[in-house]
Amino acid sequence: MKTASILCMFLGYLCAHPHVWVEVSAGLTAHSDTDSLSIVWKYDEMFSLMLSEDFDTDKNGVLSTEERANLRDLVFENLKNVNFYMNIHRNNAPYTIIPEFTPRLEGGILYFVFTFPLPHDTETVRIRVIDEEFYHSMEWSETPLKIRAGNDRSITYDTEMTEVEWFHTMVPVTELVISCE
Amino acid sequence: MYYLLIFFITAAAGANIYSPKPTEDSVVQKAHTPNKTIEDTAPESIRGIPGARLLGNLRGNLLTRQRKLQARISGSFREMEKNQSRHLYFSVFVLAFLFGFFHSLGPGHGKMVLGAYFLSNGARVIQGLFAGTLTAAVHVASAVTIVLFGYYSIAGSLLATTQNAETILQAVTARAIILLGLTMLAVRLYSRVKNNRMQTKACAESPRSVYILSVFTGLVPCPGVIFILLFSINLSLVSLGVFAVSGVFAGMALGISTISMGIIFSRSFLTSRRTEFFGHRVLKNTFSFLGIFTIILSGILLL
Repeated sequence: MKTASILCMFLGYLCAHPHVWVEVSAGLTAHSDTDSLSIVWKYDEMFSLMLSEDFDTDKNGVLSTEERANLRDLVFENLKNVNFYMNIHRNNAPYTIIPEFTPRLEGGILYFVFTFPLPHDTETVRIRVIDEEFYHSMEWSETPLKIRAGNDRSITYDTEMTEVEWFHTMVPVTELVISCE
Repeated sequence: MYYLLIFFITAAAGANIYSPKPTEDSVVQKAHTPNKTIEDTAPESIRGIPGARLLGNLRGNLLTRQRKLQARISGSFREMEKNQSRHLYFSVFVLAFLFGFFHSLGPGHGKMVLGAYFLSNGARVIQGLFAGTLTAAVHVASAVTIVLFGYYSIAGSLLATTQNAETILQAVTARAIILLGLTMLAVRLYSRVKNNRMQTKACAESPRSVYILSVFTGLVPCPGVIFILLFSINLSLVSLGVFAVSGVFAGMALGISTISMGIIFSRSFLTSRRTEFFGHRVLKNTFSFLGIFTIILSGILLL
């Protein structure tokens, strides 16, 4: 069994490896009835160019409503099938709401913004972002959480290291843990 | 050898690079939560496997380095766009070389197949250098061909063209590797049955088969090279793109060759009569078949 595991571990080195780099950050926006949690993927410049070649059809450096819709049609269903590469737990229970998806192109960089409603009774949110097939390498940005508007609640966050199994190796993954009081 | 390499690279990487560092002026207050350990999270089946965590850490570490290097490469291209400076050719080459080296140490790039071949057959160390360099050359050349063909000949989506080409070439590679592995197995078994040691030796020392294997394992194009080339074409900095691709090739060749040569050297040391290593003949036979089965399995996994 152990021999097989070791063999699998090395065979994993044959498999997919990322060429697309994504910097992830989160934002909390306070509203009167419900807050919203946005998770932003910032693609690397080279992959952004590759996608914008296909989707920024008028080559003006921004995505029009129609171009955004075309991009959404192509990627949204695929991302939905992999749960948007996100594993979110709210109050220690899986949070499987389909987010609002907004792609945008700014300064040659492609951003995917996923917005989730966050009810006021939220005490903790735990977010892990990982492409387990490893076509994307996803890392949290240096400031992983920003509060976008005033909020009378005390909000703290921390990043927590955990590991996922991938071909019998343990791959380190960082989770963002937000606590609201 | 591989573990040793992993150890040095992981050690060189230093402190934990996975946890983002929030800035002090962040608007939120940071709380403390203790980190989980592998004992908390590792499935029962892999607890205690040597290197499971080391390989995972190495992988994450290599990815972070590649991300930073790729960002610096694209930054250098942007700088070149603004002020044409010759020293940028050198810095882009060095950055691309490092990117290629770290990239080749990660999963893929034919290291497993070449390593398995050399484990099974043994060879001269120089053959490891040639085979690694050939694999890197084909890997990069394949990407360049796709960009030239896709960008200048096809009006449709380049992303789709790249993905289609990758799928087709991967299928060809997988079948070729399986076929080569099965041929090696058949020859090895036949010579066993006939007890014809001369034939085994002749088969093992034929350098041609490893070069055929190198060409097939390198056929799947490197998307990293495709992205760099497209970026340079888009910014009308093709000559700088050629420098960058040369750097990636040199780095990859070094990475793949080093691992191939390390395996040849290790096998040679462990199975040499001069070392009088206990059970070296058994080890030689084990390596011989383990290598072949790994090649076949590698091909199956690529299907």
